[in-house]
Amino acid sequence: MKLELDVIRIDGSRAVTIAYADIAQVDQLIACIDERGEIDGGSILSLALESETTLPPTMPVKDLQFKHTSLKVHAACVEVHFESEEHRQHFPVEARWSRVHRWACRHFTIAHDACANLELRLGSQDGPLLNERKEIGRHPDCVVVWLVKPGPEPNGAAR
Amino acid sequence: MSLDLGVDLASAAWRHGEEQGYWRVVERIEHILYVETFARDDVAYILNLQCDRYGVEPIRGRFVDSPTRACVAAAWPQGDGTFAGWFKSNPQDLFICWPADRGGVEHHADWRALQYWRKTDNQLVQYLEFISRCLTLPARGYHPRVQRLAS
Repeated sequence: MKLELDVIRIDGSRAVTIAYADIAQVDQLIACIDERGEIDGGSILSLALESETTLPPTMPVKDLQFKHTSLKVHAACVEVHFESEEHRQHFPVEARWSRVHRWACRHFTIAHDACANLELRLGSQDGPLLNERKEIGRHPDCVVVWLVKPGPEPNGAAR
Repeated sequence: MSLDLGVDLASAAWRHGEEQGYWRVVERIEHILYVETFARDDVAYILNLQCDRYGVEPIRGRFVDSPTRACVAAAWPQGDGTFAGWFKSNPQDLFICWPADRGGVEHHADWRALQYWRKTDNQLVQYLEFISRCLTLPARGYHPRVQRLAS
């Protein structure tokens, strides 16, 4: 049981084979793709399964219904900043920005509740908002995004 | 800060919001804009924005019914107590309770001194980003319409 990836990046192509027979859980498979493919494992799994459904991290890999075991993926480079940290990762160009958000929360170990209330901004902490339902798309260079917590907005008391 | 509504409507920041699918101008009648905004459940809400004395006075935003353009409670997004802190959908007194909204400033005279609507390069983008955030970020308390209908 293996997943063959052909990842086409702006700095060249790379072919990776992920043997998953010995990988027990979904979160471990995602981490393996992250590391070996240098691309977001969650997005790749979603393409391989043809499903955007969020899988339980502990779901057994043997229960996954793969639609594809060989994928050719055009990848966009995204440099994600969160507070004082930053990290570059690749994502399929057709993946939505929500994938970047989800990956960043995993990578920067942000609690689930806090993660949902962060937003992605393009270029800087004060840059324009990115709609997470939109595709990342193709970019000539690595795209810089910031995962930020919006400031509080004053209001009157509920009535 | 721009005092020209036309300039801000043509700005890169405004166009970015349109391209990202956060908002879309449906109609402009001089200083009145009808803008479609999208919630996280893909439901579209129409805002009537009164932008007279743009850059000097706050914008007055009110949600309106799509076909009739009437400001009625049914056209307003709903949410939890946090959400209701900003969006006052009492049929007798519909307004957005936020220091950069004219209705909010009318209800809270002390907010005028803050000049909150002038603390931005682009008043229109500031307004629509606030609305978009309230309709998309879970912490702001918006209740998706489908969920409301089911409950």
